[in-house]
Amino acid sequence: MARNEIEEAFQEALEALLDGDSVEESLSQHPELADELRPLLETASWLSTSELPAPSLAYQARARARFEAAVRDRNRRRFGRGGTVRWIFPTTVAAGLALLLIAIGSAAFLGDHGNPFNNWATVAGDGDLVLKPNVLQKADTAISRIDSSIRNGEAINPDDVKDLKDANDAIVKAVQSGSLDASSKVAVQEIAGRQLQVLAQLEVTEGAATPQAEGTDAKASITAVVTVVGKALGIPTPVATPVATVTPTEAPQPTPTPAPTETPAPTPTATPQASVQPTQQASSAQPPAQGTPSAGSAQPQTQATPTPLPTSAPSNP
Amino acid sequence: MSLSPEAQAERQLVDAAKRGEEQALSRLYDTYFPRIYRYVLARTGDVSDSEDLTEEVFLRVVDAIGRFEWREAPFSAWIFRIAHNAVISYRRRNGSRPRSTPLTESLPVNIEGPEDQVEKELLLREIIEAAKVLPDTQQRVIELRFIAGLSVAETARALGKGEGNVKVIQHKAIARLRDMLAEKPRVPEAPKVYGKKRD
Repeated sequence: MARNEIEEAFQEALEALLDGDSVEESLSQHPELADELRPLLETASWLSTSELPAPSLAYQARARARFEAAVRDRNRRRFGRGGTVRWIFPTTVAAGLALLLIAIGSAAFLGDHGNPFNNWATVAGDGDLVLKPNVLQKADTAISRIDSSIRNGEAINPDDVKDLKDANDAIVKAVQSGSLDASSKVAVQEIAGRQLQVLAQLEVTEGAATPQAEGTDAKASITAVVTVVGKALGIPTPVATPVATVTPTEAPQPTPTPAPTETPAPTPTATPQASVQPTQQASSAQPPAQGTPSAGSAQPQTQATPTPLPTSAPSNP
Repeated sequence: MSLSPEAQAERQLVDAAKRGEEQALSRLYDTYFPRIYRYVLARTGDVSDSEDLTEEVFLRVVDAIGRFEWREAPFSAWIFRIAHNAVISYRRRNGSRPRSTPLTESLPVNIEGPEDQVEKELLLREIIEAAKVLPDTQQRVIELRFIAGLSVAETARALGKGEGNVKVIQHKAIARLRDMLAEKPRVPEAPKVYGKKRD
C-alpha cells in the first residue's frame, strides 16, 4: 500500500479518535491497516486524553480583570480618556453595550458570587464604571456608626462592621478595576479619608483596652480600602504614617494629664496663672488621638477640615 | 489564496482588536486563553508559573497587537510565538529553580481509581518529557494539536505551514513518540477512557 494512503488512513482514524471514537472504532474504517495504525492511535489517544488541569476560577477571574485593565490602560494611553470609544464606535451606547457584554460574559463565567461589577457599579456611556450610590451610602453610614460607637466608648455593632466590609469590598474592586469615573473617584477618596480617621481611633482603643473582634475586623477592612485607594488614587491626608505611628504614643498620654490640672486650685494666690493652665490642658486631653505629638495630632486637623480631595489623581496607577 | 470563513472571521476580529476595540480583544482572549494556558503548562509543568506566564502573554498581546502585521504570519502563529518566547525566557530566568506547584500535584482527579490515576499521571509526565526530545517542529505540532487543542488547519496557520505538511509532521512525531515510549519498560496501552468530543 502506498505511503500516502497509509498517511490518509491515519489522518482519518486520528480525526475520528479526536472526535471521541475509541481506538478500535477509529480503526474500523481501515481494518486492513489495523496492525500498523493501532500503536500510533494508542499513542495519539494518550496524548489527546492527557488532561491537563484547568486553571482555577479564581485565577481566571484575576487574569481576566488584569487583561481588561491593561486593555483600558492601553486605550487611554493611545487615545486619551474616552477617545477610543469615540473613535471606534459611532455612538457611545455601542461602547457601553460592549462593556456590558463583557460584564455579562464574566458574570456567566464566574457564577453568582464572582460577578465583577454587577452589584456595585453601573457602566456609564463612555465606558467608565460609576460606583452605585448605595455602596457609598452603606460605607458612609457604617463608618459613622462605628465612629460614634468608638467615641461613646460603646461596643462596635457587628452589623455595622459587616456593612462596612461589604461596602469596602465593592470599593476595593471598583478601584482595582482602574476604570472608575471621576466623581466616583472623588467619593471613594472622601470615604477612604474618613475611614483613615476612624482607623486612627481604632488603633487607640485597641492599644488602650482589650480589642473587640469587631474592632479588629473593621480595622482590617479599613486598612484594605485605605491601602488600595491610597495607592491607586491617593488620599489627601498622610496615608500610611498614622496607622503605623499612632499606637505606641497613644495610651499613656491622655488619661494622666487631666489630673494635675485640677490640683492648682488649692493655691489661692496663684489664680491668674492657674486659670490659664487648666483650660489649655483640659481641652488637649479631650479627644484621645490629640494627645500624640506627631501623627496623632495630624488626625484632628484633617477631621476638622472637610478634606479637599484632589481630582487630579492618576486614573490608572 | 482565499481564506476560510473561520480565518476571515478571525482576521476581522484581530483587525478590530488592533484598532483598540475592547470587545474584540476580549473575544480573542476568550478564544486563546485556555489554549495558551494549556500550551504553557505543558511546557513548564508548573501550575503557578503557567498562570503567571499566561497572564504575561496576554499583557504582551495587549501591548503589541497594534504592531501585528498580517503579512508576517497568521494571528495564531503570532500569539503562540509570544507564548513560546515567554516559556523560553522563563526557562532562562529560572534555570534549575524548583517548581512551586508541580503538574502532577494538580492533575485533575478523574473517575478512575487512584492506581489508574497515578499511572496516567506518570505516563503524561513521560509523554511530556519524551516530546521534549522531538525536533522542534514536531514538538510544536504535538503541543499545538494535542495540548493546545488546535485543529490541523489552525496548527498549520500557527506554524505558517501547509495542512498537508502539518499532517506529515504530526504522523512522524507520533510514530517517534510511540517508539520512545515503547523503549521504556512500561509500554502504554490504550486508555480506558478515550478522547472526549471536541467542541
